Amino acid sequence: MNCLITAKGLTKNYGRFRAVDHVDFQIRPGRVVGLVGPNGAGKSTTLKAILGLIKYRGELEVFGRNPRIDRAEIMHDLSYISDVASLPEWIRVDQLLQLMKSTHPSYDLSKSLNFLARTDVKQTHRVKQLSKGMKTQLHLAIVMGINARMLVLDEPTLGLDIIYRTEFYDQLINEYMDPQRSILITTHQIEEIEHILTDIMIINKGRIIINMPIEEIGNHFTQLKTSKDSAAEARKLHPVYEKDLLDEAIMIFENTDATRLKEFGEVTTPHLADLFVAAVKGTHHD
Amino acid sequence: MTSFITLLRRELWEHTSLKAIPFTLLVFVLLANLAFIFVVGSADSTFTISTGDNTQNMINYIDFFSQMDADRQARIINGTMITTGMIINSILLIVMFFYLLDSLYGERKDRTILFWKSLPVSNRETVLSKLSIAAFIIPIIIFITTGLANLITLALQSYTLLHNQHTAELLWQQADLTGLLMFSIFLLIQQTIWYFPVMGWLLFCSVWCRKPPIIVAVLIPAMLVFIDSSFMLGTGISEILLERLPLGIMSMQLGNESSLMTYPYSMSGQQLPGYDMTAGIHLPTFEDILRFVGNIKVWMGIIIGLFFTGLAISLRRWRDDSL
Repeated sequence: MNCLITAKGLTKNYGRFRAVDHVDFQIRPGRVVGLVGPNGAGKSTTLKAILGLIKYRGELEVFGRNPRIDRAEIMHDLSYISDVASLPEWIRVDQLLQLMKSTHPSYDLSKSLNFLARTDVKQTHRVKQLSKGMKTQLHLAIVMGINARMLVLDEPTLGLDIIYRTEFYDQLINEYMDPQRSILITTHQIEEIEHILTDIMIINKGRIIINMPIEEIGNHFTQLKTSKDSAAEARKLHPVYEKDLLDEAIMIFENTDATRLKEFGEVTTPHLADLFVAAVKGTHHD
Repeated sequence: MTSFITLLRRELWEHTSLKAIPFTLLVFVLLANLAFIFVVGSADSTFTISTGDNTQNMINYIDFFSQMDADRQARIINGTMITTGMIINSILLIVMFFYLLDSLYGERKDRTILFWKSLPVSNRETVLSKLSIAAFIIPIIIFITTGLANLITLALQSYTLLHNQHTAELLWQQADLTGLLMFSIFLLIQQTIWYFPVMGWLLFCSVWCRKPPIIVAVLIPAMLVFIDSSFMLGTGISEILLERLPLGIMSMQLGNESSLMTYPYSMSGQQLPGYDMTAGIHLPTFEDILRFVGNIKVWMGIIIGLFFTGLAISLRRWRDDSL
């Protein structure tokens, strides 16, 4: 199947600092990919490269095009919501919709209007009059109107309360997603997107250290909850991460026989949040 | 094309000063005229006005004006309208200067560049839309504002004449509206061509600078002029740059060889300002236009303007929300 995005050896330096270091990945249609990592890990730099906003080294193709050259053409099929309130504060909602209709060949105004009708955002509002939650709803309404194959979200729910955050992801999956479309999300709040992801990419210090479909996590990683007494024995199997609780210990193992681990306690597939911490803080090697 | 027109509209939506300042100027013209009517209309008026030869009481001035010979009336009326136009023009040129400086810097400063670049609009279209505002839309705004200001003046001063038992016809007969119309069009075209390299430079500074671009936009030309003049290098850079400074359009009227206009309402010698009221409006002849079009300075300016605009388009490719 044709990939929407392909990166090979993607590298970006800011002076002597290497923000992204020989990154390889592919994003296929119908996938919801989470790109997660701590601050400064290279998430936003990777997205900026995909969006054609920065120079980079290595190979990067978006819909078979080079984003360094064909940004405007790529944007016909790609929508983007950034982590900052990037909508111009001075613009009125009706002006924004008119702008989208005139500049975007695949924009369906009625879809945006239908979406907005279910919110408190009025067409006469200026963006500066909207709360952060309403701004996000407006941005989402615009995205809904674009018949894009790829949606890139950079910390889209940052600063929103739990109600808006939950609603945002529900609407995204229910109203945007179909088998031909893909979503690439970067976020710190990994537990909120865990249930919608099909793939996870964990990036740290510019390198992707875990890149796999969610259903394969269980084949590679095992979480063991064991008593303090058994912890010493379990530790001999070289967990990639260990967390001490009051009376027990949580350990995450990579490519370790689960039946052996069962001798020491309860064995489960790790949650993404735990895997993320394990990958970033633990001894995992890509 | 629809997309480009929308980009122009987006500029007007954002930069409300492009509408607010002309509107304010028109209100000011209206109030100035109303004040004139009020002054002339007050029975115990002690306001006076200098007519060159002597000082006249305002009410007497209306009588004095109506008794002037037709040529002198025309010179006063047309001179007033040209002066109004030049003031409006100068103010809106300043607006244009700041508009261009902010046009590609502001989007990075408020980080909206992330949104603008998420649209399927090329950098070329974006930069050209901003250049088009400066090169076409602002001159049109100047033209309309000047026209409306002069119509307001003529209409209200007609009332003054009628109110003082004079016919308003003399005002409308002596006003060379067609001449003024053509004069404005020629002047605005010439001005746009003359300032094209400045527009390109300001766009380039706007996209290039990581600090407020006004510093670089003014400092670099100023330093070049300073070095050239202080060390008497004789490179000619000072002359070229000074000609294109805000007063450059005025200097063009001082018999500068690049000038398209040969109209007599020029500043003569060292008098600033001092319109020559000795003749009517002279529009450029075909020879004047040929001389302007054939001038190497004009073409050099266009090439430099295109060069800086091209650089601005190229640089915007690599601009994101970081300053």
